[in-house]
Amino acid sequence: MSNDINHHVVIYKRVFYALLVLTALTVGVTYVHFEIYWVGLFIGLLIACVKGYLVAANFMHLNNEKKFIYGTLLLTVVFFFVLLFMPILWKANDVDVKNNPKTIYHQIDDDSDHGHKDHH
Amino acid sequence: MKIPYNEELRPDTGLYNAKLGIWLFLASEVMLFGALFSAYIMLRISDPSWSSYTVDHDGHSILNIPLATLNTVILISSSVTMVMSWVALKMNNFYKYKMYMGITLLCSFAFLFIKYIEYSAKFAHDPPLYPSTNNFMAIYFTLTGLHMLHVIGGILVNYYLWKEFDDVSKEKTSKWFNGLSLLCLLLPWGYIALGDAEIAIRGYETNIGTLLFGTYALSLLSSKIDSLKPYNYIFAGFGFFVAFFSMIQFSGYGYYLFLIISGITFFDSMLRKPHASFETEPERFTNRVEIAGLYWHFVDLVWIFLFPALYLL
Repeated sequence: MSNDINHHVVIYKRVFYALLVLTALTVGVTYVHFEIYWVGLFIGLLIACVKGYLVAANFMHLNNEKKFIYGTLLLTVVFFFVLLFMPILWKANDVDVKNNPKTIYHQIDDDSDHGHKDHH
Repeated sequence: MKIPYNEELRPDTGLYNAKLGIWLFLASEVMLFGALFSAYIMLRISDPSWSSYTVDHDGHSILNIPLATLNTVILISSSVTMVMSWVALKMNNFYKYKMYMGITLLCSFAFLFIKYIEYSAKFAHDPPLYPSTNNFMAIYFTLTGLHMLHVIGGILVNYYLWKEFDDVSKEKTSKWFNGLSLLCLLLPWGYIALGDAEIAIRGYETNIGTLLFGTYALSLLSSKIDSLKPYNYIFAGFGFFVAFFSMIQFSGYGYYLFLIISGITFFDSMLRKPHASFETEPERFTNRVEIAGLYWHFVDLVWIFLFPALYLL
């Protein structure tokens, strides 16, 4: 049992050093100029995800956690992505009504027949 | 009657009660911070003049990246010492637990102090940067402010787990509080200094200093008279709220100090010995420390994502 704990302590120390290195890397990446702007963004977020995984898996003992917790977290992650992308996708779906005359709104607003046939 | 599954694992989930509870709470916190991150993404991609918010008129970033990197290292270290304190309890070493938990608390206070430096630098900037200045400042103060509140919550919990209580469970005095009251009373220029500080800061004297001094003096008196001892926390709380409300009017450091000291002593005077301590129920106490650790790792995780999102990208 004591060997088991010592093994865990060694892992914690290694994770600590890895986190320090990754933090230095995160700051270092910002000084590199990428031709395509969003590549830098992507790498920065990737490093953040790696750090987050190290903390969650080792310090929060998620490496050897029970299935119930995995299920809870999976549900959370799914809804988190919905939360993250819903506003962007909603905005991206918006059509520029004023400058795009072929939308249905213009057909309804057309004054000639209001969408109905003439009744006499 | 003993509550089942506080230490032993439930056969269906394989967890003890608090572990499931804290993970569910952390899931809700993910949604809270996720909503704010989503707002940040939305604000940023829809505003082409975003870079003008983050850069000074001489081209430098208005955010202090080296200081924030130091903050990141401090918080990561506090996460490591937090898990080491749990390991120490698992190995039945209470002394090491106190040491690691103490270092965790020190790191947390250092984090708060650096945050204070950052925020006051924003307010002292020319022109001053408030949440109302632009969209970036708004989301910056919201995200880092909410994270800071989470850090403060974690400090309160960790302090409660770290503190060793007296055996007398009905004891309602706080050593810190009495020490400060004693200082105010014994030093004849304690009372005068308060008034002088006010004159130096505001240019005139108000009643706040007298109120604060009177509160502390009352608290000292009540701690000496046996029948008034149980109500000491009332004076402590009164002093805290006076300091808190006076902070809104004044911007002098003396009042910040009063606020911090009175807040700590008020909180400290309210604490009672827990039912499960390391002497009475070691396994349950170890579980409590593990739960506090899970919360603290989550706070660290949020900062790991906050730091690149706000400062670096």
